[in-house]
Amino acid sequence: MTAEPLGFVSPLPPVRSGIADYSADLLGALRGEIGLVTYPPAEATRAFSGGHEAVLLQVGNDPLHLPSLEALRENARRVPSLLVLHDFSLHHLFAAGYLDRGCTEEYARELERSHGARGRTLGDRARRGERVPVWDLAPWGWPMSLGAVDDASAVIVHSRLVRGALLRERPRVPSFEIPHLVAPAPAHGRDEARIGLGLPRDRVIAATLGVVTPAKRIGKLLEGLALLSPGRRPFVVVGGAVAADDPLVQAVRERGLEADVRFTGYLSDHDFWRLARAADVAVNLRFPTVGETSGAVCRLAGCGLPVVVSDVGWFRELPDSFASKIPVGEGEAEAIARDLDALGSDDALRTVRSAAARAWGEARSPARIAQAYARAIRAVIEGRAPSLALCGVLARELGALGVGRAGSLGARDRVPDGRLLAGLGERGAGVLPAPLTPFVESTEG
Amino acid sequence: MANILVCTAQVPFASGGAERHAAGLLRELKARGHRVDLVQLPFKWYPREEILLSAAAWRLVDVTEADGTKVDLVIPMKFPSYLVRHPNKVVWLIHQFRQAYDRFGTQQSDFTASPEDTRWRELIAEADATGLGEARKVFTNARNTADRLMRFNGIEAEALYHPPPLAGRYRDDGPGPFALVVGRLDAWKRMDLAIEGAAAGGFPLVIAGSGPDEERLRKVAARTGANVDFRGSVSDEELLSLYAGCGVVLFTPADEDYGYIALEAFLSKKPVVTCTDSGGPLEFVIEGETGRVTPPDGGAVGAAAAELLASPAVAREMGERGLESIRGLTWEAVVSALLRAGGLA
Repeated sequence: MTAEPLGFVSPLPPVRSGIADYSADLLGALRGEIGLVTYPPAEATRAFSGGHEAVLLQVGNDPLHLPSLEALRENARRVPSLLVLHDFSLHHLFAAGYLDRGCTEEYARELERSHGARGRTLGDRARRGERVPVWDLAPWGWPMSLGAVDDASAVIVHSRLVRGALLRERPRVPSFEIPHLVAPAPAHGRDEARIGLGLPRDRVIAATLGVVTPAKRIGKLLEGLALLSPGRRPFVVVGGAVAADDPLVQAVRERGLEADVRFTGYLSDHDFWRLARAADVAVNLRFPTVGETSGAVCRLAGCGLPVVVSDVGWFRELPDSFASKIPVGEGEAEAIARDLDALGSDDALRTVRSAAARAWGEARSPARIAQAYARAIRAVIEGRAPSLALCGVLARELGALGVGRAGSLGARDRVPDGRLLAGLGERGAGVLPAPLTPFVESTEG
Repeated sequence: MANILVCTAQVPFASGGAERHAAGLLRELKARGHRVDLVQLPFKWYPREEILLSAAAWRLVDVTEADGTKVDLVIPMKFPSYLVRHPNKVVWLIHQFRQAYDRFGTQQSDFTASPEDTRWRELIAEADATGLGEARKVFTNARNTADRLMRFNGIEAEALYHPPPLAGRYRDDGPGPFALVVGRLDAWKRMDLAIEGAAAGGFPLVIAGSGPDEERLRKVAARTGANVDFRGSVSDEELLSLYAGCGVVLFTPADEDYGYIALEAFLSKKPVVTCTDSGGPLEFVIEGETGRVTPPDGGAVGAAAAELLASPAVAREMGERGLESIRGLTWEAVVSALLRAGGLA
């Protein structure tokens, strides 16, 4: 019997991980595009020996995925492979998977594979038993993912930001940008959801969802909220576990926000969606970021919620039509207050933004994302991806010339950038491969 | 012995100081036993995108090895050749793409303040930041060039002076009766100041060189009634004779990078008249010591030159002091500095 063309390596529910959920959302549609067999990370080696034309691995910064990367390393280039990099930095994966298990040598080797001579220097320190502060040095500078990138035939990422970083570091490895998918929300009525969750029916609700960590900076949100007079404050729901003695709880009291803030504790999937339906606005002030895409923000925007986010990382790629981007630093709380006030008091604004958010989500439906995956997978299977390396090299060098980056004179015109790209495309005809963009934003044309 | 590539941009059919500069470096490196070659790519600056596509071409060339031989050092000299990628890059900068920088807003630049042109200038600055930022060290041909690099790009550089191409052959036949102008006939060289000066000062002027500004300069000469002998391009021998036989050398460009002319004059023991805004020559010409520094005005230039032609003893003394002032300027010092910066000495 002939094997299915694709081996698909990923955790799947009931494993509790964002990538497991993502893969579950994707698989239904992807199966309609290409025949595949799924493998959990622990069985990744079996995927490579399964007779598939290509193996695709969903990987994030979690030791759960270590067997996937080890299998990829063992089988590099023997079987065409696509590495889906959900996080640009895989440091925690290797730190937990190797260092915490006493496998210093493996950790050091991975540092060197990813970062060459400078990685070897740090790796040698690790071998001598020193604590190597790779993560503290600069997460962007030491992603530790580049060895795995070298092993893969092609890499799929979710953002321009991470693709740009890959092009800088490994321009010869073909990479595709396929946005994070937006799964359709289960149907819940707004009022029904609010009643079910015990939330006020007559107030604008701003929700911040997901695991509560210092990087989510809920305190900054509270600071902004407190700047609004009580009558103009939206009701803020923090959907994530917070201990009773958490400083955030105290901050709510100290700022007199008891009537305006609710901590829900850990939310089940069912309640996550109910809260998404109950809310009017989503807030995510994550900072700093290492280029990660927020699955929660994707889901919430897909539900038609305008979002208020930090003006950093992947968030910057969200369209202004539904995303307010708050510069981090001075004046941040004031900017948060201004945006919350505008969104809370202007029904028409919320309506327009909500429609834009929903349309953005629909363009990222599992069906469309699966089609983009299928195009990238076929390019790898048919051997068309390696020639993209030429495009990668050109893209990196154009980046070095400043194309696509802001310059010192504050110019806003981008016609020259386009003319340079066109000039290269014209001259490269016959040498460069035809453009291969697996995902295009618009369904038109 | 090291394997060294000197990289420079080339405008086909044009040849001038920059080409002689590169050829001189090549010759001197070879003379010291190194294996050296010149890498050139053509440069075209119109339409605008060609400027940066030329830069992109340099990015795409792999000069780390040649036929299996490791290249130890690259020495780029001119925009955009310093965009070349090499782990051991030492730049010796003749000049950047000046139309985007100091010449912006003058008649010597066709960049406007339009949003699109602003972006083109920004991209040129970004490319410079990349190419020069990668270098282990940036030298410039003169302090003026280094100052501009700091002013416009915030990049630190060290001036590294080199002798003119005919060093060792210049001579002095004693103070002669005419003033001499040497160089390419370009508008920004402002040779009209010398012609107007010759008319005002009533002395004969010889111009050695050719270029696009010739017709205009001939009209200036006709209009002012100056006694000007346009010699066109001259041979090395004729050039040496002109330097040897003149009484004073006029060198009045607008913000010149370096300019061999002042050095060539001093090597021929001749004083130089230059202007307060001439840039590079001011690093050598000291008012009243090795020449005269006047406002950029034909009358002032003419008066200073006429005085020197009328006082041969003073002119000779200034010329000799000029020669003394540049004695330490040798190729030996240049090559040592470049190799040291590249970790090869």
